[in-house]
Amino acid sequence: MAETTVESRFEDGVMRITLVRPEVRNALSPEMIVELERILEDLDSLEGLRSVVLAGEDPCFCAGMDLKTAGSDPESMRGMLHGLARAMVRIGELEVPVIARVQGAAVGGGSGLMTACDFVVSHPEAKLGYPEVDHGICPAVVAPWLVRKIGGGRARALLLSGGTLSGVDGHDIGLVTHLVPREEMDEAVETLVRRIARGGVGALAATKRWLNELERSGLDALAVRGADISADVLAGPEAQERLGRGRRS
Amino acid sequence: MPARCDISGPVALLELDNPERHNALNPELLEAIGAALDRIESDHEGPVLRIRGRGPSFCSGFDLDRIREDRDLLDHFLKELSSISRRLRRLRQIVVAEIRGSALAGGCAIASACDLVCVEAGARLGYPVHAIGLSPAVSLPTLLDLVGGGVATEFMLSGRIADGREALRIGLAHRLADSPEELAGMVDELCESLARKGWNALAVTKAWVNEIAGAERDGPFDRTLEASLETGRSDEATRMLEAWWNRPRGG
Repeated sequence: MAETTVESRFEDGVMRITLVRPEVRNALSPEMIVELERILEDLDSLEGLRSVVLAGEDPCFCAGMDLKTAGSDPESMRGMLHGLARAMVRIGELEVPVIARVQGAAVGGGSGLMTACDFVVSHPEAKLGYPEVDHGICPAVVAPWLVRKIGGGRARALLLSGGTLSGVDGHDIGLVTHLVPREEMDEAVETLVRRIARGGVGALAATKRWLNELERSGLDALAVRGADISADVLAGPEAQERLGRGRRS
Repeated sequence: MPARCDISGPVALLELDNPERHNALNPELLEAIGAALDRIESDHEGPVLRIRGRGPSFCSGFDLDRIREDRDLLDHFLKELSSISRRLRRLRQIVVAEIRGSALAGGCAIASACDLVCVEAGARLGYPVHAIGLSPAVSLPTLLDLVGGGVATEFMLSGRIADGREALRIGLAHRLADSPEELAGMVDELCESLARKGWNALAVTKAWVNEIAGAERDGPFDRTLEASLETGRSDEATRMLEAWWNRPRGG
């Protein structure tokens, strides 16, 4: 049996999902995305689920898509992008709050997963962002979430300038909801989990459904189109040339 | 020429060039901006357009003295401004605004239509036009996109002026420099860094964000232009503009 790349543990009403490919900074492989999707799908059957915590094993949350394995094969990459988009839609649809525990870095696809979550707990030195355009790639999958989360203007500025930003800057523009020192992240996550557990299940579900209706309507269709737009750009000469240069160096 | 347009490198430059009047928008300048956009749309292959104003200000809004000479010009100004806002937002190139000094009323409208707005600490941005009986509604589609509903309402209705730091805080600007000198260097670097990225990726990303954010739809632009036109034709506007033209000068 293949090694587990995503661990899940359900305890006291909390589903803890952890990316466990630390040797590649939890970069998302095709198998990981399939595994993550499966875990998210199965959440519906869990009795007593109150919240979900999405994390990555140290040193960082998630370094993005594993372009080394898939970047040269456009069709495999298209499949991954669609899988990522579906996982993000699924995170949004869940009727319980989803918390991302983001230490170290959340970049590209990793930043996408983070953006789909309701809460983001991170620390000042974390590196967050969407450097896709630096590599000739289009961050089209995350764009619909980001526009809804921080508005069109800030999303445009962030996605077009590439690079990464610090946890502090992420907090300033509304990407990070809870900014704490790195050593206090677990405590902050647990405080949040306990706080959520005290709320009414039905009330939280109704509130999240309503926010989704206002904020996320049409998101499913945009997510699918985003995956295709991103895959098309990735398959184009500009991105392939830049990725090839990266592989050779 | 009231504006200079240079498309020789990867970064096109559009410089408003009427520093004595703080680059106030008059028919000649509006026409020059439109012609520059025509040229960039058809002939510029590079991924960036940089916009700035020569002299102490970016742009101080409509030239009200010209409206005094010809009251019908207000309609023309508003229509041109609405057209420039849409074209900047939808341009294939990433539009970088370099805001030194004032970007007021129509000047702030142009800034809000740019993708990356860079300001210096002493910049002054805002829509102080209710004081002369006019409505800044024409700029609402691009302002809303930048700052969201709550801030846009407060900012437009109060007519207050934001300095560079405040503009950054509310999302009207995206980069802040401490001084006008630093601003130029910061924008040089930003434009060069954009030009090193994937040109196709940049253009596709901009178009996709525009689609998600509804910037491709003409409806909001048309309706807000109509609101500004109606207000501008009203007796109240005439009365308040007269009062402005006849205000005591100097002293």
